Amino acid sequence: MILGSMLFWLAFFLLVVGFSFGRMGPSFSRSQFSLPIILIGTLLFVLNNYPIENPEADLLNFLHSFAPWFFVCSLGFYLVLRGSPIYWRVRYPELTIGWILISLSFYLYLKHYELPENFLLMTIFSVLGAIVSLFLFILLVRFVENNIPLENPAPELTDEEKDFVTRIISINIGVDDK
Amino acid sequence: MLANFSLIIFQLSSIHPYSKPTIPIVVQSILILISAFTVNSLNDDLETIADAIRFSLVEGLLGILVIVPFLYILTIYFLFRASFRKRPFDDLLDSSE
Repeated sequence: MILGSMLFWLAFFLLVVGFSFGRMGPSFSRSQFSLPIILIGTLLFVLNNYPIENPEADLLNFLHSFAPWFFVCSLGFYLVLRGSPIYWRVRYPELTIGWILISLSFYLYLKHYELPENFLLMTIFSVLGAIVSLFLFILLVRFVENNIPLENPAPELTDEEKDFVTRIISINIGVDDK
Repeated sequence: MLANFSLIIFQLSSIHPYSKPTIPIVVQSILILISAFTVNSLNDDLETIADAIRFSLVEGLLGILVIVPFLYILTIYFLFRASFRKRPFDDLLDSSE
């Protein structure tokens, strides 16, 4: 495998690691490494100037037509969600710009996007494979969890753990614990 | 293969003292190898197992990315509803503060 293709897979690996890190920890305090790793992975994708061989080159060509409308549309989604009437407060600037961006993404989609050959067959098998893998993963985790012997009763919480639990409950019920 | 790879990376990068990822990772690695051998034996253009894994990952990524526009159309429908909905006023959430 040539260097360009290796960097391509390194970028993909970093993106998956970054998103995995983003799922760690309580919802109000996710891992701090998530965004930097995702950023490094994205930069590696974009700034990789080394020649890339097949099959990665095919995927990269597809990404070139996919990325423009995808990023514009995602930004539009974010702005529309921010501007939508939640608790009767509508943010019209965000809402309007969001819908303009979503409309623009339709234009980019029609102008640049090309579906790969045999996309239907590819999609069906990819989705089926992903569903089977996820199902198997759930079964494996369930098997492992069921085979772990019961542990002794947990010791009393330490002061640090008590503070942590208090902080979680305070945040959830909207009370400042300071 | 793509899903198994992603799940293995997810388990390794989100490891903590209470996680037991050994058995799932071993089984998933075996499945990846079996799939790679199968793809390699079915496709004459692929010379090595590494080539079969790369080919399968690319096909998997393309297959997943192709669905994204259809999912986005569905999301646009829900966003459209959320943008123009009118909810009954609730005194408990009066924002006049």
